[in-house]
Parts: sequence; C-alpha cells; structure tokens
Amino acid sequence: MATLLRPRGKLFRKYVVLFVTLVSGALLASGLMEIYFSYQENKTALVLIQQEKALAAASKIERFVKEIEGQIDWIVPYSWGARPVVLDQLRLEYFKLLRQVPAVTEISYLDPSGMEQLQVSRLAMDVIGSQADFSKHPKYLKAKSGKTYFGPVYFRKESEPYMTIAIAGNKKNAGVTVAEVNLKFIWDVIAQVRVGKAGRAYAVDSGGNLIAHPDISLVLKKTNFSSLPQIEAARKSHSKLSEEQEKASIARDFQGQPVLTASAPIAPLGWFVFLEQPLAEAFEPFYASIFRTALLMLAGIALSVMVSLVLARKMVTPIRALQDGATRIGAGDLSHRIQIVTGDELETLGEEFNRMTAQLRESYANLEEKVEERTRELTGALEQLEIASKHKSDFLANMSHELRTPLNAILGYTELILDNIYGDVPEKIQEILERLEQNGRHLLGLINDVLDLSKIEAGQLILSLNDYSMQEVIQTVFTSVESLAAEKNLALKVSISTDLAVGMGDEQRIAQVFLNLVGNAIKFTEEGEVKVEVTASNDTFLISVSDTGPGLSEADQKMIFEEFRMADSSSTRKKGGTGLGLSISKRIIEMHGGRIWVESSLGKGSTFRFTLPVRVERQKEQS
Amino acid sequence: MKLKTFLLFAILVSGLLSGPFAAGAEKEGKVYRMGWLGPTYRVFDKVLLEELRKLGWVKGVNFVIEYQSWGWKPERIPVLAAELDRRKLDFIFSVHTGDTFAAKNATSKIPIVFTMVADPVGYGFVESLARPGGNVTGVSSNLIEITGKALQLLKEAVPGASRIACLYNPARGQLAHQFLEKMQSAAHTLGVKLQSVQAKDPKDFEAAFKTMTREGAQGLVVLSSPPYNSYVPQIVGLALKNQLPMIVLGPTYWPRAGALMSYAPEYPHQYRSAAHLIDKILRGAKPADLPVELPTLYEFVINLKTAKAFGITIPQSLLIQATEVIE
Repeated sequence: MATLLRPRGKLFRKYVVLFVTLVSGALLASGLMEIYFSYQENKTALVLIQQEKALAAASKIERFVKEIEGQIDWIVPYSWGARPVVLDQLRLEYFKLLRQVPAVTEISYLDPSGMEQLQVSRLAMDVIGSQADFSKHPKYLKAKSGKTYFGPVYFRKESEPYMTIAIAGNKKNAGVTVAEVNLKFIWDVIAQVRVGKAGRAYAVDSGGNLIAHPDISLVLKKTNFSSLPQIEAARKSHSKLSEEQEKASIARDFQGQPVLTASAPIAPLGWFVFLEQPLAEAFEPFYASIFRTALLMLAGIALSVMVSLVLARKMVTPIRALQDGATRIGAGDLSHRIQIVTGDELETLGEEFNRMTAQLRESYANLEEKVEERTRELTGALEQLEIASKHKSDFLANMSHELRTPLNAILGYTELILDNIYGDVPEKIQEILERLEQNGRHLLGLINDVLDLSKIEAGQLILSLNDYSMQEVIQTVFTSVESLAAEKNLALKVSISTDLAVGMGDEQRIAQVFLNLVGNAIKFTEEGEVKVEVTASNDTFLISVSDTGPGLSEADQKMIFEEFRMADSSSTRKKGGTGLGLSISKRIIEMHGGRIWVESSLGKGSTFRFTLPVRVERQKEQS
Repeated sequence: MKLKTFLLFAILVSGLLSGPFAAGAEKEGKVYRMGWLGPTYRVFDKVLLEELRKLGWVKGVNFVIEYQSWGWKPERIPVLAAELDRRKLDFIFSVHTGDTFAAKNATSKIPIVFTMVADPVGYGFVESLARPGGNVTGVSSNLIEITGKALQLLKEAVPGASRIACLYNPARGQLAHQFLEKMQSAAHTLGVKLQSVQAKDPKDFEAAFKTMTREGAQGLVVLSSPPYNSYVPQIVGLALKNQLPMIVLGPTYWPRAGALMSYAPEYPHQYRSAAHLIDKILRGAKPADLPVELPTLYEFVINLKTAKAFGITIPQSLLIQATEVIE
C-alpha cells in the first residue's frame, strides 16, 4: 500500500481534499447541531429535575414544620380560655408532645395576657408559674393575632440552631403555646437530598443564614450565604410572591465552584431550599455524549480520509495513465498503449486514444513512405535539372565561345581591312566595313551578355576583388559614353563626394554596371541630361543614375530587372537590346552585397539607385 | 498505510477513552492507625465500627485500632505522649473526659475525636463548641445541663423525699464541681436538701452508700463516669440494698441492670456522630474546623421492677416522659 502515498500531483490531492472536506463538513455540521440541541435539551431536563427536587425538599421541610405546628395545634385546645387552664393537665399534654416530637426541646405556655405560666423542657427542670412577661414579645403578639409565629433561627450554646413556634388557641381568652424546635432534625431532611453524586441541598433562612447543610459544621459555624447571587435572586423573586416556578440557573457555590442551582421557597417561614449540583457532574452525561459524538466524528473523518484516498487513487490512476500515455505519444513513442481497465468511460477514452495512436502510427508510416518517395523523385528531378542546367551552361559557354570565335575573326579582319593592312580601302567600302564592324561589335556585346548571364546562372561568375577608385571608374565610363551622349545632345553630369573612400570590389564589373545604367539612360532619353551621383555613408556607396527620359510605369518597374524582359513599348523595341543588362547588373550588385532599385514615374524620368558596400571582402553567393 | 493509520487511530481512541475512566480511581492503600483511648468496658464500640463501615472504613482493611486504657492518671501523661508518638497514630478516639484530657495533653498534633465528655469547653479541650480551634473535636454528652432535670425526675418519682444524695467521682475535677453546683441550685429550686458523696474507686462504694443511708438520703443522683460504669451491678446492688431510689446520669445499661431510672443522651447516636467526625478527619478535614456536636435525643428509662421493689408508684407524668420502660 506504499503506492497510496506516492506524490500524485494536484488532481489526487484535490480529490482527497474535496472528499474529506465534504464529509468532514457534513459530519461537523451534523455533530455540532446535535451537540447544540442536546445541550439545550439536557439543560432543560436538568433544570426541571433540579427544580422538582428543590420543591420536594422544600415541601418536606415545610411538612416537618407544619407537622410540629399541627402537633402543637392539637394540644392547643387545652389552653383555651373557656375554663382556667389546669396546668397539671397541660403539663402532661406537653410531655406527650415532647415524646411525640423529638424536635421540640421546650414547650411553654403563656396565659392570655402573655405571662409565662408553664415551661417544660428536656434539658431543664420544669418551670411553673414564672410569670415571665412576654406580652410585648412578637411570639405572643403574632400568635394572638391568629397566625402561627415562626421565629428567626437562633443558636443555643453558639452551636445549636433553634426556632420558636408560637400558636394561640382560637378562642378569645386563649393562651399561647410556645415551642422551641431543634432544627437539627431538618438536617436529616436536607442531608438525604441527593442530586446525582455530588449534588446537595441546603436551606437558608430569610436572612441568608445557613439553616441546614449536608456539612453540619457549616451550619454550626453560622455561615451566611447572602453573598451568593443565587440567594439574592431567590429572595428578590420570591418576595414578589409569584406562583411561577423559579428557573434553575448556573452560579457559583459557596466554595466558588460552578454549579447548577435551583431553589424553592418555604413560604410560611421565609426560608429557601437550594439544590446545587456541580456543573461538571450535572452535565456529565452531556459531556459524555459530546465526547461520544466527537469520537464518532473523528472516526468518521478518519474513515473518510482513508476512503477518499482510495477513491481518489481509483479516479486519478486512469487519468494519470491517460496523461502519461498522451505525453509519451506526443513525444513520439507511438508504440505506447494506454492501459486502463476501469470498466467505464475512462476505459473507453483510453481505447480511443490507443486507436488514435494506431492510426497516427499508420499515417506516419504511410507519410514517411510517401515522403521518401517524393524525396527520391525530387532528388532525381533535381539532379536532372542540375545536369540539365549544367548542360545548358556548358552548352552556352561552348556556344558563346563557338559564336565568338568566328565573330572575333570577322571583327578582327574587318579592323585590319579598315586599317588598310590589305591595301587601301575605298571610301564606300570603308563605310560599309564600318557598319559591319558596328554590327559585329553589337553582336559581340550581345553574345557577351548571354555568356555573362549563363556564367552567373551557373554560379561561375567570380568577382575579382581589388581596390578601386569610384572616381576613376566613373571617369572611365563617361569617357566611353561621351560621344554617344553628345550625339543625342544630352548633358552628362556627375556628382561625387569629395572624400570618397577607396572601394574594394570587382572594378570591371562595377564599371559594367555603370555602363549598363548610363548606357540605358542615354539610350532611352531623347533630351535633357543624365546625371550620376555618388555618396557614401556607413561604409556603403550610394549611387544614383538619373535621366530625364520618359520614365517607367509601375508595371515596367516591376519587371525590368528580370531576365529577357524589357519595358514594353514601341520605343524600346526600336532601341533593341537583349534585355539582359539590368538583370546582369542586378546580379553583380547583389554579388557585391548591394541592392539596386528604380524610382520613376511616367513622363518624369527615371532614377536608378544602387548601394554598394565600400569594402567587399567576399562575394555573396547567389541564392 | 491503511493498516498503519488504523492502528494509530485505534491507539489514539483507546487512549482517549481510558482517560475518563482513569479519572475515577480513588486513593487507595493507606491503612490508618487509630488509637482508642478509653475504659476497657466498651459497650458502644460496635456502634462506632458499624457506622464507620457504612462510611467506608472497615476495621482491619483500611484502618486498625490500638486499644489503650488510661483513665485519670494525669501524672503519667508524658508516658502516654511518648507511647502515642511511638505508635505513629493517625488519629485518636477517646472516650470519657479523663482519657480525652490525657490525650489532649499528650499530643497537640494527632487529631482527637471524643465522646462521652460532658464539658469539653470547660476542660479546655476546645475553644468553643462551634469552633474547636485545636486538634480536638467530638461529641459532648451535655450531662451537666440535664443534671437539674434528672433531680426533678427523681423528685417526681419520690415526691416525699426531702433529702437527696448525689454521688460523683472527685477525680473528675471541675466537672464534679459543676455537677455539684448544678445539683445545689436544682435542689434549692425543688426544695430538697442535697447531700454530696464522693467515691473514687470501687472500694469507696460501700462506704459512700453507708454515708448516704446514715445521713438519711431518700434518693440518689449518680453522675456516671469511669470507674462507675465498670461497676454497674455493684452500685445498683448497693442502691437496692440501701433502698435508695436512684437516677443515673448515664447510659441505659444502668436501669437495665436494675437502677430505678436513668436520664442521659442517647449514646449510640453519639458514637454514630463521632464516626462521622472521624470520617471527615480521615478525608482531610481539620478538627479545628469541625464543631462539637451536642446530643439531640435524650433517653429517660424507668425500671418498673425496681420501682416495685422499692414500693414506688411511678406517676403518670413520668411514664409519659419515659422513652423506655423496663418491666
């Protein structure tokens, strides 16, 4: 299973993260909701229980007190005023009461005017007829007013909680029975109240003094709980005499521990019973359920992580296979077959890929074959062409030579005759001979042109690169064409920068170019001038040959540099020429590394421009 | 990897789960050493042990008792001190004033719980009932307070008696003093003459009774204490022989043994309260913070057989008050 963790790139991670997030999110959401509702329910339930128990405890205590009250009440008739109270009888009744109500430690009888006439005690001797005056005492007054008097809690010997209860007979002349009740008995009631394991009840009087507590010592120490907020709250709300049940609340107990507290009043006494359970314990089942839920959530998340890893792997592996395969195929390995066996669309996709690859491979194979064939054909054709061209060049070269030889002979002999080597030549014959010579030279020029061109085409034109002076070249050229220009009354102008550098190139060929351009200019210009300008900049000569001739149309400008092409008009046909001059010039310029072009417009003359690198070290190969 | 993850997870979970369970474990193992200082005549010790068992303290399991009888031997207290030190006691349970007095003076460190002590404040065992303040606390028998009542009960049984004797152990020091004082004022209130008689040891009993009879006592109030409690039959026999109606400020085994009446706190309850105090101390409370408890129930026992033997008719008023009547 180590493969599960191999870095798989972002898709894998994405899937894992997505899946885990989804599941975790769902679990978390549901878990949290459950916890929230569970908390509410728990709290409500706990509150209710607590409240119930508090009420139960309160009612128990109330009953205890009421029972004593009842017992006392029972013997009260004996203190009715109808006939004078027989103290002995009363005493016996009091003894009975003491027997029946262990909580009562002392009973005394106040006569209708509030004087104590009898006191019976467990601890002390009977006191008969003490005449102690209690007529102003609240216990007497309250009892006489018809209500049971419940005195405040007081302590005997600093350590025993007691309470006085006084009840009067309901006849007008009835006396009052006063009982001292030992409240330790209430402790049993309180001590037996249990809430959970650590929950306890306690009772406080209207002043916040602790009356009963599971820890007796706290009571004996006369602890006062008034400072606790829940006591405050209980006293406040109960003073409103509301019938509503008190809500249990969360507060801190006497020792500062957080507790769930509920209270119930013991109305006639003005006391309160409090039920407190440590918060931790009260919510223990809740915490347990949270813990359970959290555990389950964790388990769920862990499970989802594992499952997501598996799922993502299942999903990513075929995609990865596709990616790898595509990369391999793209890189050229057409023999690679993508293996996917997931039984779904991805498998189909894989198969499609493979099919595509197979087809590609076939096509390539076919293509390669065809290419090879074509290449073979072309190579063959090319070879043949080359051979043909070579033949042609050879032929031309041969033919030129064959053509020139007899022509040279003709020209030679013609010159000789004109030089009167073979005797005097009559004038008429001289004229004819001169015309012969002209034609012959013209023919020679044509043949030379053709020869040049064929050489150039065969790639056999070699430039002879040497230093030259542009000035000299032009001078030479002008010298050649002077007469021609003069014949047509054309002005020959030249403008050369003064400090022209020494050029390096094939002087002869450059001269040839000049001759061609100037010659053309003279040939095609009827009147005006022919001007040559030479400047230099950046190691390049800039030459222009301009005339005031008829100019060239756009169409003509395009084609004049092509071989065998001439500007198409009747005048050029008249002038004659092979149409090779410009193309040869172009080749020569370009072999020097320069450029030649024309600027012209019909009726406005033409300007042929070309650039020439000042120093040409090597001729440019013809493309 | 799946397996590894699962194992890790399982370990985590089990660790988490064991936490809450581990938290519930209690401190166990320590066996506390209790020193029982008191007379050899132990009547209520079973009550104490039973109550301790209810609270989780089982003799022999988590505490052991070393018995030591001491009594009133103030001059030998240093010996006791050394003894207590040597035995490395965790706390002392002392019965009756004498032993408590000795224990209190022998150690101020070892917690002491007393029962059957009539006046802990007077003897300086505690600063006050509500806040003992020292290393001593316990259950008071409050006998002095009910002295007058006892006399009154006797007078009611023997209305014609004009001279009543009271028997006490002088070795009890100021307690005897207070007892006498109370008796005096009660006698005065009831209009009887009081004759105080001392008896320290059993050998004094006979002489004491002789004195009483000689002086014409018609009734007897006995303040019970060691060694009286160990010689109940003798004293009862003497009372019978001398035709002295007797009320004992002591446990119910007096009237059961033949004494006419007894009025005293319910002692088993005292021992039970003491057990609760011991429990609190063993759980870490300090005696200084545990208030002394007073009796809540008082027992008035009448032996009608003895009454018949004395030719006494017990009046209705007494019968009504009696918590137990022995036929």
